[in-house]
Amino acid sequence: MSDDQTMWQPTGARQPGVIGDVVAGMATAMLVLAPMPLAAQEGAGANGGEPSGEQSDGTSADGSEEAASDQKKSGDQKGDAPTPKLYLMSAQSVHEDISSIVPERIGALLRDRVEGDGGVDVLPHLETMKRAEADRPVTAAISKAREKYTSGLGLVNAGRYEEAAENLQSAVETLKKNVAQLQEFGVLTDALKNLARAYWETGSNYDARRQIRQYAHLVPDAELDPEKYPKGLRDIYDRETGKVDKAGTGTLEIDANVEGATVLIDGKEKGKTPASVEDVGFGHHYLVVRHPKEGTFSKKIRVRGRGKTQSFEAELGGEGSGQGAMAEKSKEPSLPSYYTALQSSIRDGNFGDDLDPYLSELRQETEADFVAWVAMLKNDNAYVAAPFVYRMEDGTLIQGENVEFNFELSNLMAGVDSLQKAILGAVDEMPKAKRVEKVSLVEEKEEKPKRAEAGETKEDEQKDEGGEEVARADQTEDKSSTSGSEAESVEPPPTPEDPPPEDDEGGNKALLYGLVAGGTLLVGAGVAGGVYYFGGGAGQQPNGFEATITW
Amino acid sequence: MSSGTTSSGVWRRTAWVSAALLLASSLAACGGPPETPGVDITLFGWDGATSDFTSDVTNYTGAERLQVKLTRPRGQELVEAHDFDLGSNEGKVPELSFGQGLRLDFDLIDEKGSRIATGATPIFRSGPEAEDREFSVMLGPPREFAPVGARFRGVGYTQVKFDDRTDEDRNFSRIGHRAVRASDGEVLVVGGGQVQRRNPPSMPELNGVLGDVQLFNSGSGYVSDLAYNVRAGKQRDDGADRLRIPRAYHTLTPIGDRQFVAVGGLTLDQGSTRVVGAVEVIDLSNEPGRRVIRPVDNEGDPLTLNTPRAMHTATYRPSAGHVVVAGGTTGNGATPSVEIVDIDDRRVYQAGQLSSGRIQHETIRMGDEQGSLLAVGGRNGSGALDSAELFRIEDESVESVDGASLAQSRYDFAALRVRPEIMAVFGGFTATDEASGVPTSNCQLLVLRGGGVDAVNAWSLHRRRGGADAVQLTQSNTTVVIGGRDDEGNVVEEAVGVLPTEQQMLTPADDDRGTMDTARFDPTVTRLSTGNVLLTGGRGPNGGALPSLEYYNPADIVAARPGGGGDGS
Repeated sequence: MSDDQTMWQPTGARQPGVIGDVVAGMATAMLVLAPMPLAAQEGAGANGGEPSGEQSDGTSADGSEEAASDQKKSGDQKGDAPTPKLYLMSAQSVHEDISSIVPERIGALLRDRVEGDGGVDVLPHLETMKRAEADRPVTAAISKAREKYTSGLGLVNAGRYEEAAENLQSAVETLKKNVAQLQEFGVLTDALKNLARAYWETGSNYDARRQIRQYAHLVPDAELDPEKYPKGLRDIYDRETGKVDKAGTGTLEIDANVEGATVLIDGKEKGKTPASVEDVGFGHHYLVVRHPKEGTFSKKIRVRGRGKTQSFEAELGGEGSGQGAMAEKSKEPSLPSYYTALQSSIRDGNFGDDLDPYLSELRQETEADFVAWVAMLKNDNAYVAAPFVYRMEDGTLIQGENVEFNFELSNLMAGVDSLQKAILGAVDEMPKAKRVEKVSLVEEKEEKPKRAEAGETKEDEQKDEGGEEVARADQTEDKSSTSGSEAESVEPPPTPEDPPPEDDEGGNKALLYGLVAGGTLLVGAGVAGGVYYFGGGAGQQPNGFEATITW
Repeated sequence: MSSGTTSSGVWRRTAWVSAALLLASSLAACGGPPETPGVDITLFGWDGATSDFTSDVTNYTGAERLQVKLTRPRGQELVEAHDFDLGSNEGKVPELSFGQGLRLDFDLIDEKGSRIATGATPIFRSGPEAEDREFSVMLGPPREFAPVGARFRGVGYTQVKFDDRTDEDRNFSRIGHRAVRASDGEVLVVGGGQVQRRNPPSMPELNGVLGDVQLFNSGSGYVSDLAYNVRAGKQRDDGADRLRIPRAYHTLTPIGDRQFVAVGGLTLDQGSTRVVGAVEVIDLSNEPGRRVIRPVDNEGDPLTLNTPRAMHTATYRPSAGHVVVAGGTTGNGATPSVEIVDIDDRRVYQAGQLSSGRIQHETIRMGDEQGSLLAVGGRNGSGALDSAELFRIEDESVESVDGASLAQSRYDFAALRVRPEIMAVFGGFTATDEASGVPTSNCQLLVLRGGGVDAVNAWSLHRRRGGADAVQLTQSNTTVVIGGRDDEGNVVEEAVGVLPTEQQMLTPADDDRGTMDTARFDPTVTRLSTGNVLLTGGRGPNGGALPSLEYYNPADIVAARPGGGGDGS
């Protein structure tokens, strides 16, 4: 991140100097102002101003060796511009200070508008994509997994282990996910075994160990061909099956909300519900309960062995337990961790290039050219929506003009129109003037009583600098405090308990207060100076560093 | 309301304001406590008992407590030590001493008080102005190998491999690559490729070759391809930040200021393997896009060796600021030629010849005042060589000083300067007319004496091993010999330690120092400032190239100073 920053500062932004820091710090600061203008530096960052491949010391004279190189020179990337693919995230409420209904409504309308524009190809939400994936016919998924498995076997035999591992890993994941519908459980175990071998041969011993252990639990009596399976891998298998032997078997009591459902352990039929299954080996296994009308239930279970009895309750007939579905399926499809982390970072209100890895993942998953989102906050008078557009190609982040929605949302359509324009305009032009590197939408809240903030002066300065106010401090309650000074802004409001001043003593009290005021100032200066002097003042430095260790 | 009341109110407010100012100014003057620089460390472990990573070291088999030590490894100094119960999952150590060359060492202790896992940050510096640092430290069993682990995308710790985020269909497994320390926390890994299974004496035939430049960070466990643009989510498409000429069996020589010179090697040319003469410079101080440079001479021509070569040596002479390139294969046989690569002067010139053409030999700069170079062993058309030659570069020319004969001819062996005037050689292959290369267990010292060199004190390791590597540990001065291949062609997975007992003696009693997690032949072996040794890539037991990295934890403990703090054990 370069020095370029867009700072959203609280109304009553801090005055320079220590007193200003202290005073401002004593005030509540969950406030938002307009982004300050940013002079985005050309050439800053990873891509800006980079040479196109030739070094300045001159390397144009490529000899024959260069001809042998596999390096590619970049070409002009512009050509017939295809319709840009835009991934429009749901509107995010910063610190979740706004009821989710508001950003949802604004986000939905905005999506309609952007889709209707036609200038961009709006990609479906990841939530929608995941749901569609989950709804895809299971048999087709298993069929695809079988293809991957077969292909993986061929690649293993051809010694192309990395490709084999990729295919087999994909097959194993799909088969495990759809184990309830898997008719040939042996495909899964054989895929595990070969996956372990492929990982081992590529030096990924850790992954190989995990797979062969799982295989050992499912098939503890196999003999691994020494011609194919290296000794190290066979040793791990033997050790794991030794553990299985040593731990002994356990008994599983399996019941269901439907009587007469078929119980299968690792693909083998073991009876009808309620069923008691004895002699199940130690380790991880797959429990499936099937009923022709009520659907299926599946669960990966861990058998403790040592003669212990474990009980499992299968629930069939639920929303997700129909034909071709597992009982757990009724849940919302889980979003990938990078995506939830991305949402969380935006909701945090402070972000910059820390989003890059998440957005990179999103790009790989969606092939989006741009990602847009709206971060929403609330000030005293309105909801404030800050639109952002991120260009995947080079990581440029644009922050559009903020849009305010009144609390009644009577200006909803107009506001959404503004957001639509801001986002599409950014996609179209990526204006340099609106580029940002780091965004701070909020400052930390402090546990101080709410105070009147500084007057108009700082706000005016913000506006003069080209910013637009998007959220403001609480209005001062004491209208008599009009000078706008920091000192007056911290004056405590009068309380009912304050006795009314008496006329005849007013002058004396005024004098007394004046003396007290002057005195305290002098004492304060003295104390401050003393502390400053004896404490080492500005030259004071920490004596050491602190190590925080987390384990 | 009377004017008096108004006046009183104003003054009262003024008093309030003054009091507030007093408080504010006092606080401001104090400035609060000075901001203390922080070092945040996240520990995780490779648990040898479960052969698995554990992010919660309280679950580490047998662990009872954690010992945290601030050390200065280069001064062999234990500064202070603190103990923590494992139950809290977090510990703070305030006011650790500022300084340079610092390291935080961690020991997991069992109920008997024995270390069951150790780890450390890279060496770092800290001062009042230092920025906060973050490290992810992997603890592992002492004297054991373990996969390098790192946390990726918050999904738990997984085995680290070379960064293969690329749009192209590339295989990042590698043999014949080079790795050198780039800083206290980083290792630079450059080039390499996939090689057909070959016998030790033969010229490698490449199946694929890499031009990538990867940087391993021991404080995070991440490997980053310099040419990967994180922002854009893809490899750079302008060819920058990787070698112009992909290569394997080249040399990579640090020349200071985070600059490294890649010289020679083998590349693929229309499917055929051929030798390279090109010189390239990796400058990690440059901004992205300019970190790999093809330097040119004063005529504007790229710097290139006069005799392209591979499997040569390249030795930096800091006093002269140049790199001495010696021997190697031209593709048609061994060359005795010596060339100087002078990056500062932008020139490459011939400096003369060794007494013999040598391939897979070793050349080491010795610690004598003249900065003599000692070239040892290797092979050529007449077989494996037992000769050693001491030479210097005078007036840009090779000046031969003296020679010696080893008790055993050898090539592709491990060699180290174990004292300024002593070089030790370990194992190697001895025959060029047999497919196995006939590895040897023989080790020997070469000692500079009276302006010349003598070969002394031959002894044997317990197993024969050709193509091994060796590192010297900074605390115990023990030399650990790692890897190699035995006379049946199997990878020697055990590491052994060799202890120097007096200035010119090494005991032949090698002791067991752990077994590789992944059997690998021809990996790179690099000692890190964490104390760990990093192994990258190499050839797996079935001949294929490996993309993974692993640590060897030699448990080279920084002991307490006499009379100092710490446990001293």
